[in-house]
Order: sequence, then structure tokens, then C-alpha cells
Amino acid sequence: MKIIPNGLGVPPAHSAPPRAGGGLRRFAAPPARPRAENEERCELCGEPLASTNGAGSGHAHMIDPENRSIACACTACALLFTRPGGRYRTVPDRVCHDPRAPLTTAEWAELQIPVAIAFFFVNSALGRVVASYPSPAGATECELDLGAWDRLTQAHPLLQALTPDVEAILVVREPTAETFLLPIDMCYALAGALRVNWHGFDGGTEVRQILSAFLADLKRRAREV
Amino acid sequence: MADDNEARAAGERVEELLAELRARSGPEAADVAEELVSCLVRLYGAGLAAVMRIVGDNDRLLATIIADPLVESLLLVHDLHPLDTGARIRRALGRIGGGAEFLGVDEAGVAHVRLGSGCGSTTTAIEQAVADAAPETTGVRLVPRDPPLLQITRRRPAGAL
Repeated sequence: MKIIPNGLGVPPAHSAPPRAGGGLRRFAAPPARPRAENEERCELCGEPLASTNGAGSGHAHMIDPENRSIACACTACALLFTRPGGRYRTVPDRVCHDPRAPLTTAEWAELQIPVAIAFFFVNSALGRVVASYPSPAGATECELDLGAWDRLTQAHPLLQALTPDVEAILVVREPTAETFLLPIDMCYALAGALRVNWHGFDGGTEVRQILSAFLADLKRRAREV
Repeated sequence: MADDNEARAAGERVEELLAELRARSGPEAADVAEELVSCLVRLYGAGLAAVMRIVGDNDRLLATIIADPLVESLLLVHDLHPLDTGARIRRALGRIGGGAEFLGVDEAGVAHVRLGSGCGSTTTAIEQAVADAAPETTGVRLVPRDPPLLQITRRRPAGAL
């Protein structure tokens, strides 16, 4: 039998990923999909994210309570972090309200929030309730009387349903008093939209329009706890 | 030819380094690096294309150019090889010997080769040779040689199993 030069000792061509023999060829072709400058990607795995799928940002977010940071996530990574225990917690997408137990004027006054809209969330790393409100400077945190929050929680089942770090309670005093339990990324999205469009002392017409559209969307999505 | 294929070796090294970068610095850094490699490869590819246009159909010069394994492998990277797919595969099979016959490339880009004589390592050598000589093909399908008309076996001794 004839000895084949290089026949032995050469790894079979198909042991490598498809046609390693192609070598540099894949770099010689123009890229199939040019890399977009501002393309949103999953911050865990780098998978490009769907830009929109209707309402909201169209992709999930994850909270890192330790660093108080929020990361964009693809569906697969978001599903991985739905259970507590890891560094990240996926933000759920439920919106709830409790029309049977609205916040009274007295309760609102007790919270001593100087503005007409605020959101509250439990920071598990700090072990406290953080109150935050939209402003021309973005989401601004304010001091909250914890005793008052505890008393509120007793009276309102909606507040008891709150998941730490990833959900928030949004309270709106005007035009009508409303309380919602909502995903925390929606609160930051609202705060961002209000900041970008803020004009003058009270925010201006655009800010009021954004807010009323946001509340209309919440009412449409809200289910009772 | 397999050992001389510097474009393949460089390609494999580039893939290794990209995988390392992806693992260490994340997908975004790796994507930027991919684009960087692609940018450089396409630049010298455009230069090679210009050189090949200057050479034109000077057969003597073309033969000298493709006789150099490194230059040939780079021409293949950029689809600039003066010989067509079939001619290159036939040439590569001829170098292996053993009488393997190139049958053609199907619509899926798979090269069909009828085996000649040779053992198992011949098929590996054929696959590698086709991949090197015609990287634009997507695979190799080996067709067994036609069975001999008559098979002569030794007659079993009577009484043996």
C-alpha cells in the first residue's frame, strides 16, 4: 500500500468546527450584519436584544441589589435569574393595584413626600425602604419615615405583595390619588423620560402628557392583588 | 500542502485568540476584535486583488505565483485563485495519488470525490486536501469506488467453520 504523505498524524478535517480549512476566509467577507453603534445587548451574554416588542423597552432587566445597578437582559438570561439567591434578580412584569384600599390624604401626609408622585422599593442590601421621585435631575431619593411605611404596610395588602429590589410601589397624588405595584424598571424609565422632557419649574406640558400616558398604560395593565 | 497552509494556521490562531478574548473580556470586546481582524484582512485582500489585476492573464507569472504555498493560500482566502474550483481539486487529488476522482460540486457546495485505492487515512487526506484547495466548498462527499466485477475468495477447507 502506498504511504500517504501527511495522511497520518494530521487531525481529521471534521474534528474542528465546520471547515477550519477556511482559515481567514470568514474575515475576508464583508460582515453579514454590521455592528450597530448603539445596539442594545444583553449585559450578561452579549446577545443582541430585540429593539421593541410593543410596550416598554421590549426586553427584560435585572437588578443587582448589592451594587444597586440595573442591567439589560435577553429572555434566556432573564429566565435564569427569576429565582432569588444569585447576584442578579430579574424584574418581573406584573402591574397590580388595589382599588379597595386607596391611600388616604392623611396617609400621604404622614409619608412627608414633598412631591405629587413617588415610588418606593425595598432595598434588601440596605435593609430599608427607599423613596424616590422623578425630578429634572432624574430619580431623586428622599428620606422616608420607616415607621410610617410599616404602618402603611399593615393597612394595605398591595404593599405586602411587594417583591424586594425588583418591584416598586408608585403613588400618585394628582390628578387623582392612585397606588400601583409595578416593575422597578418602569419607574426608572418614567423618571428618565420625565428628566429628558422637563421644562421650567413644574416640568411643563410634555411632562404632564408623559405622566398621564404612563398612568393610562398602568391602569390598562393593572390587575387586582 | 497541509503543513504549508499558513493562512489556515493563522486563521486557527486568530480563532483561538478571539475565543480567549471572548472568555476574558466578554462578547463586546470580542466583537470589536472580530471587526478589527476583518478590517485588516479585507484591506490586504483588496491589495492582493489589485496585484492579480496587474498580473492579468500572464500564465507564466500566474503559475509562478500559485507555486508559492503561502501566496496560494492567501489567494484562496480572497477568492482570487486563477484556477477554478474543479481544477484546484483535481490538482490536489493528483498530488495525493491513489486515483481519487473529482465528480463535481453540488448545489449545496459539497465536493463529490470517488475514492481510488488507499486505506482509511487516504479519506482523511482527501478531505483535508479538498478543504485546503477549495475552501469555498462546504464539505466533501466520498463516493466508494465501483465494486470489482468478480470477487475471488479462498475456498474454505472442508469441515472447517
